[in-house]
Amino acid sequence: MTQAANADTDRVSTASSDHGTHHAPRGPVVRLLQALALVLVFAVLYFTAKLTPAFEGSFGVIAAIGFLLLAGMLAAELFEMVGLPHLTAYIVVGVVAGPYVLHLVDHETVIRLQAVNTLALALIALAGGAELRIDLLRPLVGSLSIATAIQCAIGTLGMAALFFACSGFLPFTQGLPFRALCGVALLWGVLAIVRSPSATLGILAQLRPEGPLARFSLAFVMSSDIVSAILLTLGMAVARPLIEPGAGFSFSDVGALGHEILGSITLGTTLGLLLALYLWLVSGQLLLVLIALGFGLTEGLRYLHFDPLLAFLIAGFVVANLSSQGDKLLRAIEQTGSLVFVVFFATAGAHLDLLLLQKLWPVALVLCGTRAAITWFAHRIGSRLANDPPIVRRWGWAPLVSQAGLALGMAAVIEHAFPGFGPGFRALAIATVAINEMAGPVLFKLALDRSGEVPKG
Amino acid sequence: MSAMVLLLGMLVVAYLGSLLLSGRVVRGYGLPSGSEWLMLGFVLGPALLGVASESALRSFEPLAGISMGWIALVLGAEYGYAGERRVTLRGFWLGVSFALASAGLTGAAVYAVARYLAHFSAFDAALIAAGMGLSSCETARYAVRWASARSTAQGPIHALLEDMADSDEVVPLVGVGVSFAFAPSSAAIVPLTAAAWIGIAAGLGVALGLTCAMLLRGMHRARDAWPVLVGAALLGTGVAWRLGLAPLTVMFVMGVVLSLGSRHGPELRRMLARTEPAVLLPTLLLAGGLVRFETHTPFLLVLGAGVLARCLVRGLLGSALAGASETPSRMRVPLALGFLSTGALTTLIGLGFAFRFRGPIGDLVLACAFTISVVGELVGPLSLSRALSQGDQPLEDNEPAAPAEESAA
Repeated sequence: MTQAANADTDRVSTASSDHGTHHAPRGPVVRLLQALALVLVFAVLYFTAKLTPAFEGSFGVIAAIGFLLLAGMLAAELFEMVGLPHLTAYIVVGVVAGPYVLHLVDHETVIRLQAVNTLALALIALAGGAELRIDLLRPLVGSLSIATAIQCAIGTLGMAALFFACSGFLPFTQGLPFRALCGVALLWGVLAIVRSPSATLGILAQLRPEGPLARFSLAFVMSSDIVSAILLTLGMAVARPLIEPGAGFSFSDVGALGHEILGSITLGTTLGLLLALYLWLVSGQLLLVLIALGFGLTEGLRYLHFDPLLAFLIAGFVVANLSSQGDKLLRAIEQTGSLVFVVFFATAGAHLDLLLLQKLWPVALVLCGTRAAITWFAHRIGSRLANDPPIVRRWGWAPLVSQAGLALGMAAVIEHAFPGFGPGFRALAIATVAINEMAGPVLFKLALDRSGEVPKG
Repeated sequence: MSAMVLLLGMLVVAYLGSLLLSGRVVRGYGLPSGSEWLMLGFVLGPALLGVASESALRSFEPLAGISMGWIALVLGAEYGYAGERRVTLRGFWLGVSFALASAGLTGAAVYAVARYLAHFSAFDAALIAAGMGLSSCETARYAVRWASARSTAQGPIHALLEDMADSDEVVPLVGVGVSFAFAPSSAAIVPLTAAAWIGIAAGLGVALGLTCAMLLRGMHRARDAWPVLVGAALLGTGVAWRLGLAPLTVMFVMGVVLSLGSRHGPELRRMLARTEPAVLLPTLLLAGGLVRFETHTPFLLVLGAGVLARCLVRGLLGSALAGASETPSRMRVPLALGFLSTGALTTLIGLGFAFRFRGPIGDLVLACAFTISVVGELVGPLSLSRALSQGDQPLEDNEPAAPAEESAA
């Protein structure tokens, strides 16, 4: 889980870049100026890259971060005109500037930018936890439990079956015996039910919706992080004897997972209490405190083999529910996060392997399309059983389509655990995540727009 | 010491800085320009105790580079303002002339010693002279505010000094851009003239400033501007370093354009000013850690020449100014000594040269900046304070100077 989480390029808080930003109405002249400014920003980096093609050094990374921030914000303003989410704009800027299109931000820079993710993930998890208020969650417990159970069961089995059916078209499954194929399909099924808290929270941050759909989405997606981690561990424990004939079922992974989860919860609770105390007693200089926590504590938690995301999630939850400092924390994260999250998503865009997607897109498209359909079907059943409000019944599946870094992190864990078919498996995962990452936020924004939960103006 | 521990240490320093420095001018504790942090860095650095290794310190160069750019942006946004009021034209011209004369005379003395006694090549000697001249020509804003906070009188001399201190940054900040333009980056594949590089630096600053102003135009609240400001600052700083330009110049120009072009100008200035202490202290600490004193004769000769020339030139110019402005005679000596005070900009110029020109040139300029900062800090603000409290008359007809808290806190 830690490994998966470490590699995660997922999540954002509701306190994201757009959070609380107040804009004046935009006229055509302002839009034109914004488009010109976007071109100018691209031109600055383009000509810099042309003038100094062989430059190597950290200042290239700094320029890249600045570029992604500025261009991401400008593109988000322009994407608003066609109703696309800001998050999509950030990703598109990353893709266009990234190593596969304009090459303004090269591979090495993209990898070095992953350091920003450490901070972003901590902030996302903190904000996510702080958004989960007990009073809001209590009425949703039944609905969430049913939805989680149904999505896990139907999603895993349905996607495993589909993977099995498509295995003839996948080079890395050729020659695998039936039992092993079942094991690989099971792992794919588990991977398919991983969601993207970042995308969900990013959209919520931009639109600031109020209503049952927004509450359901937030609660489901944040809790799915823990569920996904548990299922991955169990799935790998079950799949291993199927894939490797000599191997037996081992509880050691489950034990390690238990240690990791309990340790993370304990440390997260302590951190939350300390943070609440700080907010109550001092409350100043929160930007620096959050940066120090994001970088320093994440390193410490990784060293202890705990899950930083879970720990920060719990910390945020504790601050919001066991103290009166939740709003203060969210405001502080809003200020810090507004910088970090744009870079975070733009980096995710730059990280998309377009060459791989070009190669695998037919199979990936089938897998993604069917996954969305299975998600919709499972949600219909779940929401009927849970007697959800009509708006959740109709649109509650939309926030579950996005996938991003968490899924990629888990694919990396599977690749590491099963080196035989792992690289091919991960490549396919990257291709499908790329599609889900682009399509999911658009679907969720559409759902929120249609649900009427987005405040007017 | 690992980079992560060092990072956390710097964050702690930044935390303390933002808590303490914001109140130092008002409450009068600590040194006005934070030179104690510079010295602390030197003591902890590889030159003395070796708590942080040079490689660990060097790994923070990008962060220091960003900080330098950010502080230049703050200086640009505040340029021409003493607190909330605009500087007077007289103060502006005096400040600029004083800085130009100071940089020119100090630089000339350093060039002569570096070229003919220390036997540096003409180009290297010119770079060293430029670096030392530029790093020594600033009158610290904080020193003036610190001194005025300790003296009761706030008369015309105080107002003039404040105006000069808030006007003279343009000389080192533009000068460093001109100096860097004569030594373009080796990574650049297209040979351009120095004038072209200067034009690119200025154009980049103007373009980024206008882009920011345009993006901020649609925002109701200036505090929503952080992503835009940080994005532009990082892009400008990164591109400037990459092209071998001076990020200090690019960011200064951007700040000036932004301040002039944005309808949120006053609010932006206040916002940016609040960030300065948190950014400045870790940078000073890092700069102190990177200072290296060589013991060979050419190094010591040039360093001594720089420090001595600076002290003499500033003292003489200060005396001349005191005489010309009909300052009471009891004020003249302390006022002249008061002009020895330096600010963080001195260290930033030194650091900029140290990053851009690795080796003797950078080491010399940084060591000189360090020395004159320490000397200036020990002598300047106290003398200034004495001069102001001894001789300056309270303002009667003049507009009162902005309270120190407004600018610093």
